[in-house]
Amino acid sequence: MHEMSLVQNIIDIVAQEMERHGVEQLRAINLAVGRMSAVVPEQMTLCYEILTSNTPLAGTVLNIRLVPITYQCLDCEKEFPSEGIASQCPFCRSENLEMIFGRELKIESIEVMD
Amino acid sequence: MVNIPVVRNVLEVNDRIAEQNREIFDRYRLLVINLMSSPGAGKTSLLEKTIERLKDRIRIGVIEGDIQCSFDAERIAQKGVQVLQINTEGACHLDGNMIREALPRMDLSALDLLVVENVGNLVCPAEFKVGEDMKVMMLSVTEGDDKPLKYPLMFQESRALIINKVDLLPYVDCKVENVRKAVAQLNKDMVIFEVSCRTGQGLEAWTDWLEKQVQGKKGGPLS
Repeated sequence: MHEMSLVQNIIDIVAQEMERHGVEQLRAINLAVGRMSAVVPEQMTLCYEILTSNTPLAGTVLNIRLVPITYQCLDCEKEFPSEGIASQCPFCRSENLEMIFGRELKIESIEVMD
Repeated sequence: MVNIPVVRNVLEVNDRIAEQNREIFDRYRLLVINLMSSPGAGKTSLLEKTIERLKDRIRIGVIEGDIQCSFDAERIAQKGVQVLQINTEGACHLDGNMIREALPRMDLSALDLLVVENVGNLVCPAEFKVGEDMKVMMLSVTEGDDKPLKYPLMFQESRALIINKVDLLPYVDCKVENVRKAVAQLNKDMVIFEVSCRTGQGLEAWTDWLEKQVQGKKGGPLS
């Protein structure tokens, strides 16, 4: 439900980066979204289309890379992927876990015309 | 075509504003709680009962976040504490900037505890910091014991969970034991209180704990 405000943030950040790098024409924004973040990717792309229509960014693309959930065991230090919430390390059975990937909500790069 | 690396957090502006709010709160040694739940879980009732129990010992203020109307703020005002209503006009959560704009309209020097009652929603508010010391969430037993695993983010982000309406347990299928099991999986440090705002059951444990948190911030070092 809060995708609209997130997309507005994305547009603001990209505008700053375009100015910083002297970019005139943007092609795409590459966004990383963790599977555990409370975001619906389809809504993000729809909001992006709506917010950029009739602006210089119209027609540019918001690419979303979904980041799978990865845990690290704080005891044996091994990393393992998970479909959802994990409660036990598959290697050493420890319950001392930390989610190291899956909560991302970040702009990774922008693609621009030469 | 050229690819320019950026690597910036989408929520960086909000995080920064929340951090600035937090610095202001710290200066007043004021404990700030971001209270979240689904609509109807009992946030405003909990605040009414909490204020009744603590207002002789702690100076409490409330910021009410609602999409529309000021019913909740009127209920809190009846209790004789500082209260401010924010209407988000459709937005599903409060954010750092809404709180920042509200602060000049409150007398923070006259408070020990500020509770920000977020918009009723189990998803979005968890992503947006407002400058709080801690998030506290409520779950009412009528919502069902599957909610922690269905909405894990908020349970992971919160310091404490208040399970409300336990007087209704005989009439619903929710098992507190199942909620506790799921929470242990998501956030094993979460402090859990079982209460009924209607009967008063369990409220003392909650208000005792809350008072300790307020005192901790009062006496704690400035961060």
